[in-house]
Amino acid sequence: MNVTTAELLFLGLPETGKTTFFVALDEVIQRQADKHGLSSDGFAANRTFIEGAKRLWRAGKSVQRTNQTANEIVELRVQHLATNTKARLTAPDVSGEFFDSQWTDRKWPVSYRERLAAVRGLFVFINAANNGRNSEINAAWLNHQENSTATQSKPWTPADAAKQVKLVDLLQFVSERGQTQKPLPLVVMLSAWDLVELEKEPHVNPDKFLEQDWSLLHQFLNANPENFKVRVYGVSARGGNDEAQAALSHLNPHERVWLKDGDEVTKDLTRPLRWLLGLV
Amino acid sequence: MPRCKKQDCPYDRNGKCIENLLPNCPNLVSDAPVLENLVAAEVQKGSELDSRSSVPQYEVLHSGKKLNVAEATVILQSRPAQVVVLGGMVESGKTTLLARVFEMFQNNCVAMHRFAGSRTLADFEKLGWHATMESGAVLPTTVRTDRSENNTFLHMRLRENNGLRTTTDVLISDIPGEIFPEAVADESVCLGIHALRRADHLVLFLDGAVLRDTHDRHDPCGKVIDFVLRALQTGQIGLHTALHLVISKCDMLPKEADNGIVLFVKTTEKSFRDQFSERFGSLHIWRIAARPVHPEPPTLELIEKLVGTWITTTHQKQHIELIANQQSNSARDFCRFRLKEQLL
Repeated sequence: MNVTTAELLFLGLPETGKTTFFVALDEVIQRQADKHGLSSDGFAANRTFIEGAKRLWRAGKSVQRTNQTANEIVELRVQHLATNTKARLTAPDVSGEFFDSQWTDRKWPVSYRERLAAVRGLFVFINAANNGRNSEINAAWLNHQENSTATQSKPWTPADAAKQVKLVDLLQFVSERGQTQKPLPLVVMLSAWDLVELEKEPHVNPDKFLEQDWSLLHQFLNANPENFKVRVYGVSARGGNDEAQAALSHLNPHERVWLKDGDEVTKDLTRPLRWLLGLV
Repeated sequence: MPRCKKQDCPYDRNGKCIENLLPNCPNLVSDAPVLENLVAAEVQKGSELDSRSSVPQYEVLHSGKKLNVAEATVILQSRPAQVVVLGGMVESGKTTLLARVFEMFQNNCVAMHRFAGSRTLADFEKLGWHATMESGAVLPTTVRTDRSENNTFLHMRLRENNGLRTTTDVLISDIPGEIFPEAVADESVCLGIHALRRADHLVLFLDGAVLRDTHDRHDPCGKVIDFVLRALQTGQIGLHTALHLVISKCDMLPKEADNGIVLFVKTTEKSFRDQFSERFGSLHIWRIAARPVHPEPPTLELIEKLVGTWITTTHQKQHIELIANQQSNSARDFCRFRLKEQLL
């Protein structure tokens, strides 16, 4: 039996589904149906945070945003029967505001940088319903503005920057200053994927989606193979949006979730984790 | 590369000492020549902040703003890099072109190169802000480059999108429009544009909208030619430089080939070529529209070609022995091109 310990980092701007994914992942691990997937190897000693968030998630409700001041350390104990491996995975559930303020304030806590050295894999969360870039003024906007009373545009502030630009800089901070292993395994998780395509009618490749809609980030990740080893997934950790929850409520919570891996749809949310740990 | 520790001194930007104590000003401090030392300085800055405040302790990260000469030199000394200098009169389209280039990378419109990083992302984002719907602007505009931004650099790292996968850093300096005519009038101002001597590319802009005006077009045309002559005379540019003439806002030019305005533009281009093609490593002429009036589309393919030239063309290597500075460890940094002596 191989036994390993791995620290992971969930990086993402506010409201990108980091906590929701972690809760869904925990549920899938406890009830794993895929023989190739990771399954539970028991409960961590302290699951207060996960259980608190899970109550909402199981009811089909939005999981509340992570507390901004306290970075809860969440822990999963998993096993991979196919390779006879056990792993203890820990990840601080860091708020999106923490990452947003890194971009605007241009500083980070020393303690955060020190933790980066131990990170084995990085989850980068993106809400697929958001735009990666700010929208250039087009003809429709010009027509709309003819009736507008606005006379002046608002001055630029760092908070106004395109989301993909912020993410690129956050990843530059990690690769330049973090003293992480190189290349660092990194998965891009496109959350709210059910807004991009239906589970029953899959036709969008997550990597192509990232290339088209978050192009600067896609280029950055692929142009730095020395720093990052990358894979892109779409994930629906609630199975659908608020309107879809009524129809989904007849399913068990772990049956609502789905993941898009290339052109394949799967219920096994542990695939990104297996890829990060080299257990594919 | 020395830099001044006084915050209100313009030395880092234009080489002039606020206390007029050059070359022995006690406020000049040496700047460490490697990227790691830049990072270390940022860490130190953070620690100093922390000593005055309570926990948690913070480290300062790179600012995302334009680089000064010292910071640009660190990049030149550590990696293969190209220096591009843009010049032209106020509102001739320099900044708009840079905003468009960054937008093209954001919009997946560049085929030949991939964006591989930048130390100046915040300032790149700022360039295009007033052309976005999020800004609330009624019409797309570009904020003019301020005088204080002379001798500063935007930075971008690009990687070839083919099998060779060569990575190149590009440093772009935008000469503020107010300084451009001053450099023609005053040699010391021209010599104060530090990036010129090291520039792989000098890109000069003529505003297509202004070229329509039969009275007002002659002065900007004359200023562009005079700027080239001035910088040739100082020895800052020459056979080690690729020279570009960009007719910007070309959507504003008439479409008919025999129109008087179009003929004037052609004559200007020919005269520029005849006068300078033998005196530079190469000469390129472009007509671009980076942010045309709707419904015309921007000239994206030409802009990509122009940027591709910045990355792939240099004439510095052929002339390196002529102006080599034996004290420098690096072949193509600012010191190697006598900038260090000039600053001291």
